[in-house]
Amino acid sequence: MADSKDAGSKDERSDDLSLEGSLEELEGIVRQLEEGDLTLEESLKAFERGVSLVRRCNALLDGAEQKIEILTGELPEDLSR
Amino acid sequence: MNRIFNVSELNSRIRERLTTDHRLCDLWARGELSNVVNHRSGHRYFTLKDGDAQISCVLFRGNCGGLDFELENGQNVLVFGDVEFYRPRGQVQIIVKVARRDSGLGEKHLELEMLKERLAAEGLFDAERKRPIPAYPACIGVVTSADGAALRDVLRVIGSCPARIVISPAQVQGEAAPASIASAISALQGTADVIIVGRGGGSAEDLSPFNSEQVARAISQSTPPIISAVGHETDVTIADFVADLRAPTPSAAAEMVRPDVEGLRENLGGIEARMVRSLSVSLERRRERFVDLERLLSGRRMRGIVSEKRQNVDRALDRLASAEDRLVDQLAGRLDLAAGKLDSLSPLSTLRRGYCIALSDRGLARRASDLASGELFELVFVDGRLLCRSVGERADRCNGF
Repeated sequence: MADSKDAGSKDERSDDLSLEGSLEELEGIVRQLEEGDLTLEESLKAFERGVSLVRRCNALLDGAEQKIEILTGELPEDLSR
Repeated sequence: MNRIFNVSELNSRIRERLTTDHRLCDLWARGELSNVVNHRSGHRYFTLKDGDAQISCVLFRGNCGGLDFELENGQNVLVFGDVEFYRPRGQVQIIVKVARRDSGLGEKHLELEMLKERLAAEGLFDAERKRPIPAYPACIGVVTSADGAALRDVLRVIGSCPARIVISPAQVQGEAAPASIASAISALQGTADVIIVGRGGGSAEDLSPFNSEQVARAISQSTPPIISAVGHETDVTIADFVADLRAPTPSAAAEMVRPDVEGLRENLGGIEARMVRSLSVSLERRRERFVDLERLLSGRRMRGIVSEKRQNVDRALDRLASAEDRLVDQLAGRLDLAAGKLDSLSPLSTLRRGYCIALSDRGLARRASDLASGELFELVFVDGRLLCRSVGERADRCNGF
């Protein structure tokens, strides 16, 4: 079946997607699914992609801890851990 | 030997002396108005005086546009302009560019007001220029002193969050502060998705770098949106007017950029639920199509439809054979129509699209549970049938796909 939606090409860059980018893509997927114009195979592909993005976002939120950098000079001692 | 001047030469020399003195250019003078003359040319002439001295002033028509009050004798005013020497009359006067009522505020304040007006006129404070603050920034830039309390407040309030925080240290008071703040902002271009620029509370003098044109320009030229966070709630600086968002304090700025993690989790849960719902709706719709197919497959009805259609075709053919020439095309069209209907009603067209149908001895198997483990059944493909045996239901898929 011809892959008319670009679900396939997005898989490779899923890892460097930001939270903001992931949410944007998720909104697009939900919209596509709700419009119901996809073939069965396309809906399943979109669904799987969506579920993996949700998981990824949740993992980002779970693993969040403060990451501090400084552009010039040393990070003051009380701020570095 | 002393040189003898004629008056013109003398006045020229005096004039040259006065107009090349930079201390007599772009100055503010304060005093009381007297001898106000609104000349019919549109120029205003008046004298500015205090207890001991007076000086003539002229406000040319072209500079009257910004005047927001009527000049009246006895008023205390501030004027801004250049000292000039009017040669024809040998008179020193101020060429006034701006006149304001004197509310007793200092020179610094007046300069600030003028800068504010200039930047406002350029459109730097316009609401349309304000950009939205991203809800989930991947990188938050902070421009402030690395040693200040403001930085610690910001980091404490942001807390743990799925964003990188990049500090771009700047000197936030003193002569060098405006340049330092401006370059700290530009160092974050291309890195930060949003930038907090600010410092903790201090005297008006301490906050003055945030009233500088240099900082205002750096903020207006920043690609990532900027949140200003200068001093306390009541401190308002030019940086606040130019920034995309003004926070009353550095802590408040941190509150504004901190991603709403709880809200995000809820949002993600909602998205997941919507995906599951719409997928099951679409699967249900597809299942209904199979129910229709089953109805067609049930032998008697199928045969009925086929024989009816076939009779239509036969009748059409009969009539075609005996028809006059002008009826031929019309009948041929009906024949096509009848044949097309037959085809679209047939499950064959569905099979041709790649679906197949499971048939057990009891008829169409609509659900996995219609087939017992070990049961024999047939899978009908477009090009033939496969005899199959179920080895049991898979546990890892929902029913339907």
